[in-house]
Amino acid sequence: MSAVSAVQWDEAYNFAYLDEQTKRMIRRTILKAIAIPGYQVPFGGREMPLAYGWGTGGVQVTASVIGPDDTLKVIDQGADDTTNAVSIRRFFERVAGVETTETTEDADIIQTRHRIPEFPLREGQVLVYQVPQPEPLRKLEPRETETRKMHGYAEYGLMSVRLYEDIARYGHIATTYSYPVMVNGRYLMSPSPIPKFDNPKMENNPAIQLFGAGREKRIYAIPPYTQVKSLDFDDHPFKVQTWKECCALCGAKSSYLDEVILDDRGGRMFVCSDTNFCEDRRAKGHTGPLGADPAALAFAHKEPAQ
Amino acid sequence: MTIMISVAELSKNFVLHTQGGTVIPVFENLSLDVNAGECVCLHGPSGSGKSSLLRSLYANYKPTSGSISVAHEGGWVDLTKAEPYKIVEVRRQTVGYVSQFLRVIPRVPALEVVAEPAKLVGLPAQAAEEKAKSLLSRLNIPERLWSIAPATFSGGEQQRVNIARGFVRDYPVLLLDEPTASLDAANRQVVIELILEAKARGTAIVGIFHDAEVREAVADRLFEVMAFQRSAA
Amino acid sequence: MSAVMQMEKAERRPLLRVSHLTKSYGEVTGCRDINFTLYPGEVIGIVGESGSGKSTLLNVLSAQMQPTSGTVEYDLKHRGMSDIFTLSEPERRKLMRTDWGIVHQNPRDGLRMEVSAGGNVGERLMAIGARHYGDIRAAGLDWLAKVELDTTRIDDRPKTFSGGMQQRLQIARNLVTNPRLVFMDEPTGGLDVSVQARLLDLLRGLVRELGIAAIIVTHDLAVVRLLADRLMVMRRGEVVEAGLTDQVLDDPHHPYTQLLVSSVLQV
Repeated sequence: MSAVSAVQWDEAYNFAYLDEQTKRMIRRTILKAIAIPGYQVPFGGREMPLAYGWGTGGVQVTASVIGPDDTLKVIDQGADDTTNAVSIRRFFERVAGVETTETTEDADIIQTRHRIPEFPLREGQVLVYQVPQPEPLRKLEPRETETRKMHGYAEYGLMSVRLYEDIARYGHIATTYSYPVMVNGRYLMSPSPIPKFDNPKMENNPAIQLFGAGREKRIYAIPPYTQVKSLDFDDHPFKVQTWKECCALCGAKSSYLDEVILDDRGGRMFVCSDTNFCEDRRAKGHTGPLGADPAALAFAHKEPAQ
Repeated sequence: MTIMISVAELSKNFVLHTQGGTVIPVFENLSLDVNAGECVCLHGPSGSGKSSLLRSLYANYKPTSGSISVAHEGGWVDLTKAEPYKIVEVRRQTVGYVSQFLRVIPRVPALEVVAEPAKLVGLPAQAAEEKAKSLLSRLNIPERLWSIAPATFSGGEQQRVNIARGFVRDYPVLLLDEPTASLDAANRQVVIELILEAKARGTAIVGIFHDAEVREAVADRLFEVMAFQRSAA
Repeated sequence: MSAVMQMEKAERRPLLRVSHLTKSYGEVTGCRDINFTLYPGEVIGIVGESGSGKSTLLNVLSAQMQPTSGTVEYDLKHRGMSDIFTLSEPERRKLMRTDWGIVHQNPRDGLRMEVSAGGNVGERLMAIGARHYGDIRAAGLDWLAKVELDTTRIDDRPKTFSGGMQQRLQIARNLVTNPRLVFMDEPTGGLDVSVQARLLDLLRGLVRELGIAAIIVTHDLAVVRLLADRLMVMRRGEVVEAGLTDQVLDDPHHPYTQLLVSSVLQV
């Protein structure tokens, strides 16, 4: 990156939308969060020009760490081309004038909702998660005063009760997303609603992982190369989802698959949820059972919303 | 002779605060020693304080002054001054008490009621139940009643369950409050035998026996409680 | 020599020692200058009418409330007699969910209504590190049977249980870690008489069988007659009479105790 890039943004706004004092406050919060892996640090969340639940926490974190030379990637459920991802990408193009990309490898900052990219991240990258509910114990213990004490004293028996309930009711741990993890052997943490398939990617990841909850006004973090363990029982160990099918388009057997309905006659296929990963494989010549099917390709080549 | 109970200068009166603080004196400066293997019959008309003395010996009533020493595990325990836990221990180990009426506990079967004191001092459950069964048989409680809670038993049956409970352990000291009051001749005879066997083992017994036949059969001496009523009462 | 040693062995070591315990709410006294010692396996009843300070006392004894003055010492497993209010909060919370049990009058205060019966019983085990589902479930089934709950209902939520069943589940949830001391606040309050009798009998059996010490607050003299070795009678925040349960009930000395005992209706 050149030091004198000709960055242009809408000058009606401060760089990256937030004022400098707010960004400093959020950066201090982020530093504290990195210093205490998994601990939820409260911050003075601002009103953002999008509704709660659409990523206000993630956007504030991204706005505070992004610089003019950074390249941004935004994904929603793994896809770069969904409305939320496109809108947030445009938002930062406008208020920060930054480059954007769909390629995981090229991004400096990746803001995500509900997925971790399939391509491994590298040192220097920042993964920003949008978090609706930062408190993993909330459904079981409604009192914030009590959950804070539980974190303070590492009293996490209650979390196992939730997994126990799963096994008692379904015969196995049926929690498939927001699957709770212990960070650095100390703090219980909600990984945000990512599928448990992605949980193992959080451990020992070279990238910085930041979590922003806008409505709840909490930020937490996993520093690079940190131990992240998914909770389980000795006789019901943690397992990720697997599929009998491979990706219908690129033939991948090890990626997280979404089920897509193709028509109203029962036609369906399983495709990679990570669009960048899928396209990259197809560009390299991999193909799946429907790789040449026009209806299937219509999904693969759909244009980003205008 | 081994003294098992030594009562010294014991006085008891009741103060009825709900009746304007009326003081009812019962006995005063009463002293009594009971030896091992001896049966002392508390004697006197109704209201002379026999029951109050017997209950004091079990630490159920709190005397106004004086002392009640009981030989307990190689030492002496003064029941008028002992800590509650000590009294519980004395009752468990040393002093048995057969009251006139059985305090029924819901759902606990007769056999369990009888066996409980033996289990509490560590007798294996089976041995305790064997002992309880043999006593219930001797006291003519039909076997079909053993597994039933005694709440629905007749007065005489309840009293026999109570007696069985009192004799299931070989207490060094046994207190008997009219144990034969509502029993027929045959069962009265069984109780007499049980008392004589206990005496032969060396149990010190203090009892109230209104029935002259029983009294003559078991008592070594009569103790006149009336003699200790306050003269100025 | 051996007799002396035997005597010394018989002198038990206290489990809980309460000294000059006072709790005031500003000008109002909750309880004043309470002193007593509880030994292992002993059951003590605290009786008195509403507002006599018995619930305040229970809350302070069970560390749910700070006293204004005085001490509550407990024989901690690895430290011996320690004032529970000098413990750090996590130590105190750990004590409350391992070596102590607290049975609330309203089972809703002591149970998680959205968690299955088995999960309710297993929570304390998981809190102290149990991570084997099969073992936790086995313990849950065992305890449901001990408190006479239908074991086929292990996966049902307590909100589908009757009041008496909820109370028994609460007891199981507390006893699963084999506590040495259990606090009970009106354990039979709000239950039908027939259900009360069953619960009382169950409690009596468990307390004796497991050798648990208990402090039971109630206004029901029949409850203490059946369960308690000892009794404390409270009035206006003070203990007016204390002693063996049958002593206090059969030969009450204090005017208030006499009134209390004579006010019970005979059935």
